[in-house]
Amino acid sequence: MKNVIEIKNLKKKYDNFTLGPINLNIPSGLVIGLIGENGAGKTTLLKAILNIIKSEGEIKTIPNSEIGVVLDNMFFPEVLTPNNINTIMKSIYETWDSKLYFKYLQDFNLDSKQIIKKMSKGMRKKLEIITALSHQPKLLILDEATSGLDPIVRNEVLELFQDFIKDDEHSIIFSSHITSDLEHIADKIVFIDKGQIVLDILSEELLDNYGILKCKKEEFKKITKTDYISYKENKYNYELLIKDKKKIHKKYPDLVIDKITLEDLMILIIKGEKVC
Amino acid sequence: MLGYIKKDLLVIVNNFKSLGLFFLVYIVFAFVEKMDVSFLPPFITFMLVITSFNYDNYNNYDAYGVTLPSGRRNIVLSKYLVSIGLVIIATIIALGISFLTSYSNPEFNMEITLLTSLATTLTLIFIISILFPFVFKFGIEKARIGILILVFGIAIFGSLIIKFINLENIDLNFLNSSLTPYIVTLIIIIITILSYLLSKRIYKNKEF
Repeated sequence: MKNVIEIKNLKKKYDNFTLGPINLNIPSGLVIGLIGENGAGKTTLLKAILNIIKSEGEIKTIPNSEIGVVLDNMFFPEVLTPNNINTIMKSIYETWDSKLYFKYLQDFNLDSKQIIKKMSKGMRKKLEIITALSHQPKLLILDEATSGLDPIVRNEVLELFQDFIKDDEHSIIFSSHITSDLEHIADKIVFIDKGQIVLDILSEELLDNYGILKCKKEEFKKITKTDYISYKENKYNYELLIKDKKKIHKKYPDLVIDKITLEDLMILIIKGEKVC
Repeated sequence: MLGYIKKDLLVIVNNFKSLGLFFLVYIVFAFVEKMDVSFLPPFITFMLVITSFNYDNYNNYDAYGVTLPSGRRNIVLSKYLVSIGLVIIATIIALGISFLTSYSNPEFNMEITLLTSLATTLTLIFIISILFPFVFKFGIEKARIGILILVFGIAIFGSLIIKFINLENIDLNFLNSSLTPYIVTLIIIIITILSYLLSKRIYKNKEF
């Protein structure tokens, strides 16, 4: 499998925040879900990949003519119309497909003559996504691409991404706070916390092996510390993040192990007490 | 490259629509009042170019633009080409209107009008050349303050020179030479090229 992005020892230092060192390969044909709380470094990582910011280390990507981007609050000036964007983009990308672009505009009920300024946040986001898809990229880099969209449009957009990924050569890096969106489409999860990758795992592996063990205080005291990654004390019970569901289930057959969601994973890694 | 030029032109044209009334007033003045206001169109064009930076800044276009193919190089080049190109086109249009209105204006002097237009154009290109590296380095908001400080600095420096140097003792007759417009034009071209190279260097390493 060919990589569309290879990152070695990427570092970016700010006064109060450091990203990295990051080592990450993005294989073609996969949807990578980038998760982490606000300020964890997701956008900084995407900006470094796209050369919007300068960083240390090595980043190899496919040519940016083959990358489509949707960035949070970064787009064409709002006095332009979708028609204008078509005029501009067909001179920038050799592969720009005007026919496809206007089809998308029609499918998403966007007026080609309306200036961006007069569009709602959801309409703008749709236009940004359509623009990113219309030069037939091989890689989509999406930063909060579904935020601000209502559930129906979000679903339409996710279907669009699923269509895009049907081609084995296509990949997506998708950073989002809406973890349920990522659960729908991500093949691999990359979890960033405080500028570091704390988890880089295939979704299938995550769902098969990771789980949330729920127990009472007395039961919690009996569990070996090496059997869980972190835990959270709730009002009536304890929640433990476990890495090997089958092994733990054998060892503690009376305890309940729930399926893990990305939200649980984030909360337990960020807010949970770590086991030393 | 063409796409980036189109983007800047479309931003300016879409914004120009709201200034249509201003141009109407200009044409009325030019025809009815028989005034030589040929300096106005290039000046308004210059203001429109500056406004295009505002829109870019407001919508974080630069961060998006640098992700497009050859974005960093073309964004800078297109700003220079569009700004200078439009100022020159506006000057030519203004000159055309001046000639059209000249038939009813007995005071019309072609040589003075041509020289005024050349001086206006070169002054605006000079301002563009000084301003743009500041804009690319610090952004349009900070650059505005910077340019104000620069203008005041030059004014104060100039007035101090005039105060301490007796200009009467200096022979300024060379300024009346027929070669002066050509020499000034050449100097402005050199300044513009240097300004572009500096802006390109600044933008190459800029973070958004």
